[in-house]
Amino acid sequence: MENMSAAKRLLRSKLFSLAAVTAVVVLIFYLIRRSYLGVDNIRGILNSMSLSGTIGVGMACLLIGGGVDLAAGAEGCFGGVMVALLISKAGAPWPVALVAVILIGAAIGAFNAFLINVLNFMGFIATIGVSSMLQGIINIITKARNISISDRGFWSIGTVAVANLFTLPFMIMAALVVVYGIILSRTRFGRTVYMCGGNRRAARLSGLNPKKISTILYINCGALASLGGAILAARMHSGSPKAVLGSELDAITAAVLGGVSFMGGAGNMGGCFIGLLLLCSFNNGLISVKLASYWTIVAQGVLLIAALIADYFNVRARARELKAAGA
Amino acid sequence: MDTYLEFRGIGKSFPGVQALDDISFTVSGGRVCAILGENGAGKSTLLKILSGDIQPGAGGVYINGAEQRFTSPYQAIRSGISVIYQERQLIPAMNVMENIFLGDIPAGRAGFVDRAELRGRTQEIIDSFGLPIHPLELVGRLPVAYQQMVEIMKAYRRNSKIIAFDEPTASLTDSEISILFELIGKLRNDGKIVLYVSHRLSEIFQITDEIVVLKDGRFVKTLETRETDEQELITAMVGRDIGDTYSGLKRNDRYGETLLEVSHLETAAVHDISFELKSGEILGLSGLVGAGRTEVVRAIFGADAIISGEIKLEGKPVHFKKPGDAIAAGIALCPEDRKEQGLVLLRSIRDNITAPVLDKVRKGLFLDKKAEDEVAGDAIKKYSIKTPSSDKPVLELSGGNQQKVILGRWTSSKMVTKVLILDEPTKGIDVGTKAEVYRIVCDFARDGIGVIFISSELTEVINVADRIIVMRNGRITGEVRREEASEESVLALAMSE
Amino acid sequence: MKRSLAVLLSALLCMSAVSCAGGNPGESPPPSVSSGGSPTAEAPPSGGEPSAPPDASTPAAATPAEPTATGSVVGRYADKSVDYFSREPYEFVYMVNGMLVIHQLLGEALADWGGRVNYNYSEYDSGSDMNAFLTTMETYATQGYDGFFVDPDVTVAQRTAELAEDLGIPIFPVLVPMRDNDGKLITPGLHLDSIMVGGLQTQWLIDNYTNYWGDVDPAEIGYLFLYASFNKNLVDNMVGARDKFQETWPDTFEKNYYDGDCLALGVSIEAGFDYTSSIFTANPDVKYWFVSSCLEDYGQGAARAAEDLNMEDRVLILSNGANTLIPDWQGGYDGCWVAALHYANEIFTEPIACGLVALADGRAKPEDLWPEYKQPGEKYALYVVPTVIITKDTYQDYLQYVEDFVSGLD
Repeated sequence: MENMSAAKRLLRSKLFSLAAVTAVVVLIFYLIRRSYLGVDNIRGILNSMSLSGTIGVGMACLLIGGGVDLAAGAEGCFGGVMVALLISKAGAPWPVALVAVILIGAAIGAFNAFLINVLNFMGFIATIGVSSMLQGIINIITKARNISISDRGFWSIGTVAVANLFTLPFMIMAALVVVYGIILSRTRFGRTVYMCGGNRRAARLSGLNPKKISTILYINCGALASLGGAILAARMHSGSPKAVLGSELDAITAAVLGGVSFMGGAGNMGGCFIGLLLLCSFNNGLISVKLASYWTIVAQGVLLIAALIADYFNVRARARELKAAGA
Repeated sequence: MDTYLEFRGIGKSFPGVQALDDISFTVSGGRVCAILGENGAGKSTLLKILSGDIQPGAGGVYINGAEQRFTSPYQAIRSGISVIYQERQLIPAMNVMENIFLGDIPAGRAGFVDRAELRGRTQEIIDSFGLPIHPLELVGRLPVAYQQMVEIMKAYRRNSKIIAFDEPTASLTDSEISILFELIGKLRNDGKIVLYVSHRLSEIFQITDEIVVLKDGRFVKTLETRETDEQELITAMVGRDIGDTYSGLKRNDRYGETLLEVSHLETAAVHDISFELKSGEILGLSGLVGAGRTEVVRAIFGADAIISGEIKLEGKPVHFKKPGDAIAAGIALCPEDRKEQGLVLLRSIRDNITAPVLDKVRKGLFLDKKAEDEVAGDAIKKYSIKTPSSDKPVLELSGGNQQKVILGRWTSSKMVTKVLILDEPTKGIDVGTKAEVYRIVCDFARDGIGVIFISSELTEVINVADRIIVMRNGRITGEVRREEASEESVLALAMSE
Repeated sequence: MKRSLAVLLSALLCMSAVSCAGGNPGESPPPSVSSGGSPTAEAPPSGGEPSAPPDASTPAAATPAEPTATGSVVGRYADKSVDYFSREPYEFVYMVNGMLVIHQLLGEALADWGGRVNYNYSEYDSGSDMNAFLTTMETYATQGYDGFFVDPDVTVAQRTAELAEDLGIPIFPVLVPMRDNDGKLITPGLHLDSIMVGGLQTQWLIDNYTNYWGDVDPAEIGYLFLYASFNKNLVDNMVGARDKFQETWPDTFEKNYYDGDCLALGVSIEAGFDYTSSIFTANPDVKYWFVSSCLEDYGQGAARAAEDLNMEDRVLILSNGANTLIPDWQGGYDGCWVAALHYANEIFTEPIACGLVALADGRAKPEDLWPEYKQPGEKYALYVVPTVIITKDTYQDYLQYVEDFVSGLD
């Protein structure tokens, strides 16, 4: 494998097979309906990626590090609700409210880390519990109603766009993808995340500190989820007790599509981005071709399986190579 | 007519190792036969062949002269064989009678379970053994010793003619052991064949009629229990031809200052451990599996908690709360299970080597690829790790090369290692690479590193270490200098009560 | 073993992630309250119109719900002959089999009514355990409670009514009328007709679009009704709206009507946004758009989508529910989300609260209440809740009306 040229390596990589599937999907929808690749629709697709993508960045880092945060959706919802409350009811200027909400998300993440690293609960269970707790709190605070935001300055976060194509929420998400991608692949912290996720015990016996890494990653995930929810609230002009819930599963699906493993220690940001792009372009396409809802859900399942099968062939080819090389 | 069991010419090999070679012996009914041997002598493999878990590569098992070909444990059971392992093979959620009759539950009309009959027959068995167990008790709630008795009753109910025990007394109290021995006595009196695999010589002398000694996968001899003694047994277990493996080793004969001092170390697993290590010395840590050697070094390394006791490194007291601290102070550990604990298999050779020194291969905010490649390249060259590049995931390396990667990690140019602890470093490695490892260890010693070398292989530890500490049951039972050591003496210390 | 379990779990997770993509499986029946989703779809009373007509055809001031002309005022707040405070406060409890958000909100309104017609209010949630529900009813009876507001499991409704009768304590259903196994009412009840309401929504758009766009050709108007097909009431809402559109402009219906099932995207504002956005960009040649919804959140999302695509001048949105819209209007909103179907919880719960008090007083027997709402063949009345469509110009009057109503002014 090492003797292959860089080009051939790229072709074999998971990133490529994913991008290829995405290109095929986009092409098919374009052929059905020309407007699919119109400026407005592309902007719509990119926009629809921004929430799951923002949460997904935090989630992917966490998954690679061996953890999981099933409360991310609730954290995002809470972020949206809190930012609405702070701006509308407490009259805070929106930049302050935004920063406050990120800190609140970080605090929830720290709480998750406490349950998992100090009390040693399983990540899966602990974060499901925190999710329920948060949703209960959200319902009490909002009395099940949306909280309107009338600060037009805050609204502009959702409307500012570059070239009428890239909205600010999308660009924020893309920036996060790039920055965290670099952190994961080129810094000591990133390397430590991969090692701790790949084999926690071995990492510890090599002098790394998996608990510290895990804590940082949970805090990070909470903060980003909260930010995502706040940005959504800006776009929708209100904090809603029903927003964002369930998005953690979208984020996880995109990450797994992109090569992140539930075992930890594998995957990269680029794959997650393409994975999310695939999911969102697919959903968008299904609506525009007027596919009935239940069929849409079936189609989503088929897509996931198709992407996993494409990856399977890739893995098998690689394994054959290894055998031939007598590894 | 009494049953008799015969192993005839049994051979079994696994990739790289001949586990059993031409094992032949017989055992008659109404006898308790011990199977004795060092780690790796082939006892478990033999039991697995008997129970139908694996098939012999050569030879066969004969019961009453008829060859048995088991392709599954079920067939072995049907042929009258029960093996009682260290791990329970019961269903904790079901009660005693259901477990005893597992697979043979009496059914009434229309196939429904006849509970009355089930209970009655269970009670009969319990009574004949004279045990204080109730048929309806949930097995999961019984104490471990009683669970074991349920398994014996299960074997009895199956009318097993051959019952084998694998280290049955490991987690029993003395009174429970007495009850067990009574049961075994009953089985013997009923004409069954009882095989008893254990390290505990005192028990073997108590309960068995004859002893079969295995060594390195071969049958050594059968002895009548009442005609032999501990000395003879140990001699039978060891004593082998070393060949050239150790003859070329360049030993270190100049030791430096005292590097490591451990005083009265106490953890959850070990008690009152005290020893010293000098710079340039190779200290062997020997003992049987479960003696506590790994626990001692993990405590020194900061991986496990210390209850009391003192550790001094280069004269200064140290207390490591986590391995990172120990590493920074210059102590390194190659864990026993290199795949599970020593390496991140998915990652490259380079990543595994640079893990403890990421801080030192940085350029500003980012990792310095060139520096990393250099460090990895050095290790690959130094230890002759067979790989075309340092990018290869360690998953794809052989066991020997994987071990070299771990060694490379601790001795890279960016690391300062003073004490190197190797826990079973040659486990699962071929002979050629083993020799390389011994050479490398001696090189370390000559460089002034203090080496702690844990091994269960007597030959290895006697020929590599300068001094050997023997442990058993979490305590040190003795210390021997290399010149005075013999396999018998070390083994005796390892097995002493 | 652990590894394979983990892989299996993650595969299951991904499967369920995909199959519920965005959809909230936990969200069963009723949507948020003032979205007007009715719990049961029933045919309107044979009389045709509710006697408290929502003025759905003009954007002018909505005429408030008037007390029935022909019917009795017994069991209504408008009955001035009753002195609620001449007695000790009653003990009423609202018993729900599985409390959802909508029950909570109605419960709040019922609690408020307690202050006006003199009863102490408490709540009980039996989860999904009807046995516990019935047993607790008996317990309350022994403790001397005077009346039950109930929302039991509909299949156990008959049993519940029988039990109450045995205990001699009056009951009144809140969200869902109680019917026996043959489908006949067993007590008086309230009812919101989803299909009729859907028709009202469409009707308003048809009657009013010229005020916003002038005299444009109806053939150029597309209609998108946003709903989610997992719940029958939401579907009925859509059916009513769609059929009215078809009825009015049958020739262009096929071309101009767009299905708005957001199920695959979920029940949230963002789902409405994404769906509307996709439809708009997939059909760039449609010049004008009506958008209506069964839930307020979908309408809100659609409004944001229209703004995002700079289409506000050719889109009209009417949502079912105004909880967010009213504060928006108060904040000065003046965009394409121009109207909403609405009923106030206080109005909804008034007949329930007063009705139960009347039964507890003994002033009326259940079959005596609101005779004008009885359908042929039914022993009990089915009161139709008045809904109105409010706009930026009329909402304040409506809010004032509600306030007056509950303070007892006529």
